[in-house]
Amino acid sequence: MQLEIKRRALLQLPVLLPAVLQGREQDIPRYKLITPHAAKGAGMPGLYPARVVTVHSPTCIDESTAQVNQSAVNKMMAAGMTSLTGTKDVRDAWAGFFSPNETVGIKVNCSGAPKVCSRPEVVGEIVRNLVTVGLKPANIWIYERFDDQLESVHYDRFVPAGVHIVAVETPRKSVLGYDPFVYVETDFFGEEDTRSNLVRLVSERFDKIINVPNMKDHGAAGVTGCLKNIAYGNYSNVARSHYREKTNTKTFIGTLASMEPLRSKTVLNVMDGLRGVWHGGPFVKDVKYAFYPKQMKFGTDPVAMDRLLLDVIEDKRKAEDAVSVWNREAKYIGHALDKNQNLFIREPGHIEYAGTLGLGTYDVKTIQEEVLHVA
Amino acid sequence: MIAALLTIHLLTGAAPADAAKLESAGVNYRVAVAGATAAPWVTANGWQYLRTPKAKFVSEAAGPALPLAMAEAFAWRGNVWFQVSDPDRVAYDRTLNFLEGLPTFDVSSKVQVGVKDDGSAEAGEVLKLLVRRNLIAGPLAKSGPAPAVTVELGTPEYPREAAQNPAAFAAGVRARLGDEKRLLRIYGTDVVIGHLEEGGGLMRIHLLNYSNRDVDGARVRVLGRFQLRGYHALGQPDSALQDFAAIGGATEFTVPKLSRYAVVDLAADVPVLESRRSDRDFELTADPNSRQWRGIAAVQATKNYLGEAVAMPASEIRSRWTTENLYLLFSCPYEELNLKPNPVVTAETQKLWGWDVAEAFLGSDPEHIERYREFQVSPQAEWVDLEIDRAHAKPDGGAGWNSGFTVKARIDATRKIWYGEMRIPLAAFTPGVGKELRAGFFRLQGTGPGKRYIAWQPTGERNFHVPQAFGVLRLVN
Repeated sequence: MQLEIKRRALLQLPVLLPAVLQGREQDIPRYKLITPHAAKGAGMPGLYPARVVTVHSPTCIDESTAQVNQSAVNKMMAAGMTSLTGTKDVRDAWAGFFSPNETVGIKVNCSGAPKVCSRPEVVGEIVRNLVTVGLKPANIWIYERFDDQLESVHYDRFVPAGVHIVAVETPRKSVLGYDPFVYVETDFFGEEDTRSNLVRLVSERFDKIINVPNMKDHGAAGVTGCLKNIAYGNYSNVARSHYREKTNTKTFIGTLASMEPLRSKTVLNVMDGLRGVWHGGPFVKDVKYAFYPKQMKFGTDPVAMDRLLLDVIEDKRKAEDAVSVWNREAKYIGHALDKNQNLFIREPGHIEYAGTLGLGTYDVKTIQEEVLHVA
Repeated sequence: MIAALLTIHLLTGAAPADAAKLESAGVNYRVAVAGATAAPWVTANGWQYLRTPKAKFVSEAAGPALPLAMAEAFAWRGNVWFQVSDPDRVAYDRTLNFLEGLPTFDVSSKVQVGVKDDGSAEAGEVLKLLVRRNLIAGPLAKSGPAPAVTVELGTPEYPREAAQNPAAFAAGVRARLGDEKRLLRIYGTDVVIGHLEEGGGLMRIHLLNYSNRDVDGARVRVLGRFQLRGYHALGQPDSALQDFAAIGGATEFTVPKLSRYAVVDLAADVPVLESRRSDRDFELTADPNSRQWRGIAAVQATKNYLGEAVAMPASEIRSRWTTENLYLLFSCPYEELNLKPNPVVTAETQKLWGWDVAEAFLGSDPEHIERYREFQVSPQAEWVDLEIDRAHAKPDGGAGWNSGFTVKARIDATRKIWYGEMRIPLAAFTPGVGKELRAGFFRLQGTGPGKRYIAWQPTGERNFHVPQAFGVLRLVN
C-alpha cells in the first residue's frame, strides 16, 4: 500500500503565536508512506477516543531523592486503568486490551535516561499486570531505539525473568532492526537518505503496543508525549527532520504515527508524569529543569493526552517565568542552557496536526478528562 | 565475452615517472569544521579513474586504507601502482586474491549523469562530488546512448560559477534527475559509494565503505528488476544479502555488514516458463491437443536473437515434469523446411543445428550460468544433446555427453507447422539444481538469406549462447 500526502495548507496557528506569523502559509513536505499493512483493530485513537484519565499522587515520588514509591505507582495504575475502562477489577481492565497469547511491545522513552525516562517502577507494574492477564514474560518486549540509553535504566531489575529488553539500533545507525518494506519517505533538507523505516519488531512480532512516554518539554516538538514517543521512537533516521533552527516535527510526528501497522497496534498509552522536564528536553542534564507533576495519564487517544500535556508543561514554564513553547521569535534561538533559549523553533502544533490525521481529539473542550487523586 | 578486469599492479620497483600520486581514500568527519552539508567528507578516487582511464597512479595507502584503495582501483578500473610495506603485505595479498576470485563479466561503467569534461579543475570537482553522491556520474562519452542528464559547465543550466559550491551543484543535478529515476540509492549510511557496471543483461554493483568502521546494514535500491546472481563481500565469505525484493520498477536488498568492499551481481529479471507437474510419465505425442498437453500454458517466441520481430506466427513452448523427467513441446510454424536428407533417428546427429531445429538450453549449475545443457530436436525427430561450458569449452563441444533424452516430431504440412517433443531425464542435471533452471529456447528455421534465428528471450547477440539472457524454467505443481 502506498499513500502519498502532498498538499500546501494554510494552517490554523494557535493564538499564542506572534501576530506576524498568524496565517503564514507553510510547506508540508511531500510524504510517501510505504507499507503493505492495512488498518486492523482499534489502534489510535483507540477504544476511548477523547478520553483521558489523570491520576495524581502526592506520595508517588520523593522530590529530594527522586525515589519512586512503588506502592503509590501501583495504586495510580489500578485507579487509572479501571477508571479508563469503566471496570471494577484491575485485571478486567487490562484484559479488555490484551489476551494471553498476544505478544506485546512496551515502548519506553529513555531519552535523558537514567534521570529522565519512563520509570522502571511504572514499566514494571505494567508488566506485572500483563502477566496477571496471562501473558507469558517471553511475550513481553520492552524496547527503545538506543542501547546506551535503555541499559542505563535497568528495567531488568523490575520485571520477571524472560521479559525481553531490547534496543533496536545496536550499534547506532544500524538499519538491521528496521523493516525495509515499511517506511516514510521524504526529503526535508536535501539529505541523501530520505527514508525512515519502522522498527521491525513492530511490523513482524508485536500484536499490540503500550506506549509509555515521559512528561517532557522538547526542544524541537514543544513537548514530547505520546505522539513523539510512538513516532520518533519507532522509526530510523528521524533526526534529519531538524536542521539549524528549523524542524519538521509539526507534520512528521503525526505522519509517522499514522502509518500502519504502528497505528493499529498502539492500543494503550500510559504517560509517566512522576518526574518530568519543563525545559531543555529531552536530554537535559541540569536538574533545575526537572519538575515533579506527580501524576500519570491513561488513555488510548494520544492527541487528547498530549493536548493536556501541553498545559502541564506550559503551566510550569509560566510559573518559572519562561517563554511559551509556542514562541517562535528568533531572539530565543540558542543553546538551551537558559530557560528562554532553545535550539529550534518548537512545533507544539504537531499535536493538532496529528488530530487532523485522525489520530485523536485536539479540541480541549471535547476532551473528557477524569482527574483522580490517590494517596 | 569473458574479459579480465583486473588492472592492479603491485609496484616492486619505482612507479612510472608519470604516475600521479593519489590521496588516501577514506572519511574525514571534520568535526567542528563548518561545511555546506552534514554529510561527512569522503576522499575518493574513482572519479579520477573515470576521468582519465589511461592515466597511471601510485598509491601509498596503508593499513585499513589499503584494501579500500585496491577495491576502488578495481571497481573504477584504475591503473594503480601500490607501494605496499611489509606489514601490509598480508592484507594486500588477501584483497588481491578476493578481487581475482570474483566472477568476470564483459561489463562496462554505467553513466547516468554525463559530465562534459573540458579539462578544467571545476569540471573535475563536479565529477568528483557527483560520483561521491552516488549520482552514477562519468565523463560524457563521445558515442553511445545519451545519459539521463548531461552536465556542461558554462551553459545557462550549469553556469561555471555554480561549480564553486559543488555540494549545491550536486544537489541541483540530483533534483534535475529526480530520486525516483536514480539508478542507485543507498540508504542507512552516508559513507558508502557505489559504482555500477552493466553488460549482457548483467548489472554489477560495487559497494565501497569509506569509513574505518563496519557499516551495519545498508539498504540498496537499483533501478530495474533483477535477480540476484552473486554476492561477494571482502573478508566475509559466508555473508548473504537480506530482504532481496523487486519492488515496482526497482530492485532492493540489504547488505547486512559492509566492512570495506562488496560486489553484488544482478541479472535482469527474466520471464518464466512454468512447467506443470504430471503425476506419471507419458508417451510422447508431439501433439499439443493430446490429453497430457491440453490446457498447458505456453510461452511464445516472436523475435530473433537480436530482439527484432520475426514476420511469421509465434513459436510456442510448453513444459511438464514428473519426478523422473522433464518434458518440452515445441510448436513451430514454418515458411519452408530445411531438412537434412537421409535423417537418422536411432543415433545422435552431430551438427544438427545446420538444419531446421528447435533447441532448449537448460542451466545445470545455478552458481555458474555459463554451464548448461543443450537439447535439439528436428522436424524429422533427429536429435542431439550437448554439455556446454562457456568458461571452459569442452574439447568436442560437449558432444560426448549423453543425457538419455528421447524425442518425437511431427510435421503438419497443411497448417505449415511442425511439433517437436522432448523427454529429458532430470538426472541429466546437477543434483540439487532445484526447481528453477535457467532456460533458453530457440529455433533455426529456413536457409540462406531467409534463415530465421528465433529466440524466446533475445540474446542481444548474433548467437544463442548468451546465458546471461536466458529465462527461467520453473517446475510447479
